[in-house]
Amino acid sequence: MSEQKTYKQAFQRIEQIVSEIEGEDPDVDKLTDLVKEGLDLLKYCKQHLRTTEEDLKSTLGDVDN
Amino acid sequence: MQHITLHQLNTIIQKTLDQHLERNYWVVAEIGEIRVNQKGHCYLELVEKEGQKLLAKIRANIWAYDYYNLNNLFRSVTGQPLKGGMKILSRVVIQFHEVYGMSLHIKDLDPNFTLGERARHRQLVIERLTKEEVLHRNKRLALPLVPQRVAVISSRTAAGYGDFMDQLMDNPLGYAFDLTLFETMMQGEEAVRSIVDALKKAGDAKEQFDLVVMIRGGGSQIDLDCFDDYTLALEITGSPLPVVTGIGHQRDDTVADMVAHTKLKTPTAVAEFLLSGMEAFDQQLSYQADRIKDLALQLLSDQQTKLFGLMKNLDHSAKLAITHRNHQLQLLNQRLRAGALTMLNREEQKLSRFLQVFKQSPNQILSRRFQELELMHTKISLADPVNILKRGYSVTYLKGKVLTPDSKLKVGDEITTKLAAKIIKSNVTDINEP
Repeated sequence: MSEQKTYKQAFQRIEQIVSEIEGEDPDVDKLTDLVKEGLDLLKYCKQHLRTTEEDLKSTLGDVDN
Repeated sequence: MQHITLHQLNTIIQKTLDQHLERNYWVVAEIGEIRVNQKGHCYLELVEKEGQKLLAKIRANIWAYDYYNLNNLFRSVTGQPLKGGMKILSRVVIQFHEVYGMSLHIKDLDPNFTLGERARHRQLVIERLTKEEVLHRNKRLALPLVPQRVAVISSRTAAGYGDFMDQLMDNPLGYAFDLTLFETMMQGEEAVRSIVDALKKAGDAKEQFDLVVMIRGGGSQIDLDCFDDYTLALEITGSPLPVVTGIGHQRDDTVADMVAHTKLKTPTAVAEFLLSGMEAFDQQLSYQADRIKDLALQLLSDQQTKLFGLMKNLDHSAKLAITHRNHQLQLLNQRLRAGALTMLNREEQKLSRFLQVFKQSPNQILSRRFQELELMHTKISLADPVNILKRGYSVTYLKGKVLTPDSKLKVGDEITTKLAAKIIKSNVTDINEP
């Protein structure tokens, strides 16, 4: 991931990759690169979710105090 | 030159008068001035006028003994004492004294001949003003709350003016007055025009003044004629400022007094009047100040009581409100937390599905591709001639070309037969058409 993407952009790209892979005529030459890109984006998204969750917990904790 | 002494002359005059005059005369004259001394003797100035012009004037007296009876008689008939401005019919004895000169000794009066020229004239002026409905016009003006800016109509040299100024300027309470003198003639033929002018000027500058005072000190009653003038009276009634008179006489009011807003006897009385106005306002201010203080204290006390009550209510209400809001916030907090976590969870699930795809799909794709390749491999293998030869088939060539049913073959031709593992050369011996 050279450029910084938002969660939404990353998610949309993953959807695009999945749809290509699950399509009728996936291109084998691109397969490795697509899967690698997809997994990278997945990792990024998960990290994003985790960070968001922690931020939320911290923020909601603040309210309780 | 032959001469006589003054006393001789006066003696001659006296004798001549005695010889030529009647014992007494009934004379019509106007009382120009009248005063009674401490002993009760009455001294008068009798006059005759034409309009405002003096035609004749002579001193007269009524001795105390006569005056008491005559004045009582006069009063009982006319309802008024003898006073200036009255035209009287009197029986007089002419006296000539070597030292005091000529005078009339009034022995009798006809009180029925009462209202003198002047009083009648006044009456006419009053009737005219009444008819014109202006008699009380100036009285209808409101007196100023603070009689401080005063237009003074007077003569600078009048004794009354000095008294007035002293009284005001040295007032013990230290009230400040803003006095503007409109200098006028206060007697004589020019007086009316002069006073009317002054009234007009003061009226034109009405914004600068609170009221007008018209003052004049003492003097002979005869000098008061101008204050009975119609033009002057009309100007007073029409003044936009309240007019206060202090014309300085003790006799009956002049028309000017009658139409003025407030009439006072003397300039000093006017000064006292102004001071009393200031004092009244001062007291009013003090009273109002006290009232403001009382009301303010009362207000403060009321508000304190209210505040105390409100504070008690506020405390209770605030606690209730805070509890309620806290509860609402807790609910919102819970919803927020649950919502956020649900959303995260949903995203997580989506990502898991993607991961599943990435784990499985590539293998499936590759596996499918392998199968495709295998299939193609099989098909290709089946088509290979080598494999056909291996199964026992052979290929025959004639002159380097594959022998086909269309080839022209004749007996004796050399043909080459290719087998899987051998190449056989042979000559055609016979050709049969099956």
